[in-house]
Amino acid sequence: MMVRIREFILILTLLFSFGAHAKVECPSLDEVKKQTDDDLCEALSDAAENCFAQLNYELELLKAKKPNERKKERESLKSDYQREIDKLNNQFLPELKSLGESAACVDEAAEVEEWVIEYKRDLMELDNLR
Amino acid sequence: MNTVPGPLVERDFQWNQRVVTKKYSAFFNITILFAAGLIMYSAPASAGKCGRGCQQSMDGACTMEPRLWRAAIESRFTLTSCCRSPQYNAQLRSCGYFPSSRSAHMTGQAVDIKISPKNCNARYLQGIGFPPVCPHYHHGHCHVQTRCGNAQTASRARERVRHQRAPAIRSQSRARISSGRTRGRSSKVSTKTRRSAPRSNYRSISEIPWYEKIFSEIAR
Repeated sequence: MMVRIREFILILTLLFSFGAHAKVECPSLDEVKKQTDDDLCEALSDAAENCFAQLNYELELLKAKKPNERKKERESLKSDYQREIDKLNNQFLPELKSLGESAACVDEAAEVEEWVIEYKRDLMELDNLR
Repeated sequence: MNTVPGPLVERDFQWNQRVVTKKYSAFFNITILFAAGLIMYSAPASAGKCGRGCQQSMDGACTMEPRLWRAAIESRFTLTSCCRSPQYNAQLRSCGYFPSSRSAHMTGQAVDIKISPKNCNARYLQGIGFPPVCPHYHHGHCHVQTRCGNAQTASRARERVRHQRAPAIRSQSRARISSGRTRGRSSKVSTKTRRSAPRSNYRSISEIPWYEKIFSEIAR
């Protein structure tokens, strides 16, 4: 029984080490709100930046791989980028633009908009990656 | 920016305790007790350094926007937070909250007051003696800050984001990545990676600026 468990763990380890890239899933608007006691504007902008950093890191790892190795992972990473872009456009930006009579988070909304441009730039790069 | 006296450390402490107990279940009681111990130990320490009114801000000074402070005190609403110190941010983090290092509370440009959500607006607050402010209501309080964004500051904010991805940072990261995770590959691949990786900023989660800021704060 013990040997079987070890085999199972070994198989799982192998699967994970040769499988797809680590899925990047960043906090939703509600999650950021829960983790923030205050300064929501800054927290949302920081969350957008941190998420970008994680995705961009995965992209750089992918680029370092051989073309035949990265085919599957490319699609998965693309969907991660797309999901996070949608999250920023549909959750973060409307919240930032509506807070405090639409005047409280002007700078942070601009920052998040700029991060969306960077996400899209990476996504385009990912599209062009063979 | 003046040194501001007042009884806010105690209020901050009470507020922090309330937030903590509201957030966590019994499972985390030990963590909470530990955090409360930290608060009890370090809040008087900060107060000792800064006087009774305000905690230590990022630059080490215990200051706050004087007009904002005066208005907040004269309004007689309950204040829940004023100047934050890196230590206080560390306390919040130990309780599972993640305050931004760029918080207006760190520079003394914000104060949290207890008023009803419908009164948390610039017009009402200016009517009761506040300077021009950009307030917004969340987490049961009105966050009142004097720093209001406009087209010019928004443009600077955009520039800041672009700067985060400056070529110098990219090249550093490229070198790190090619010497790190790609180690063991042929040198040809590494060279190719260096050439073909035009926009890499970060190597790992610990290099994300948000984390870097926190670690540098803790180290202070």
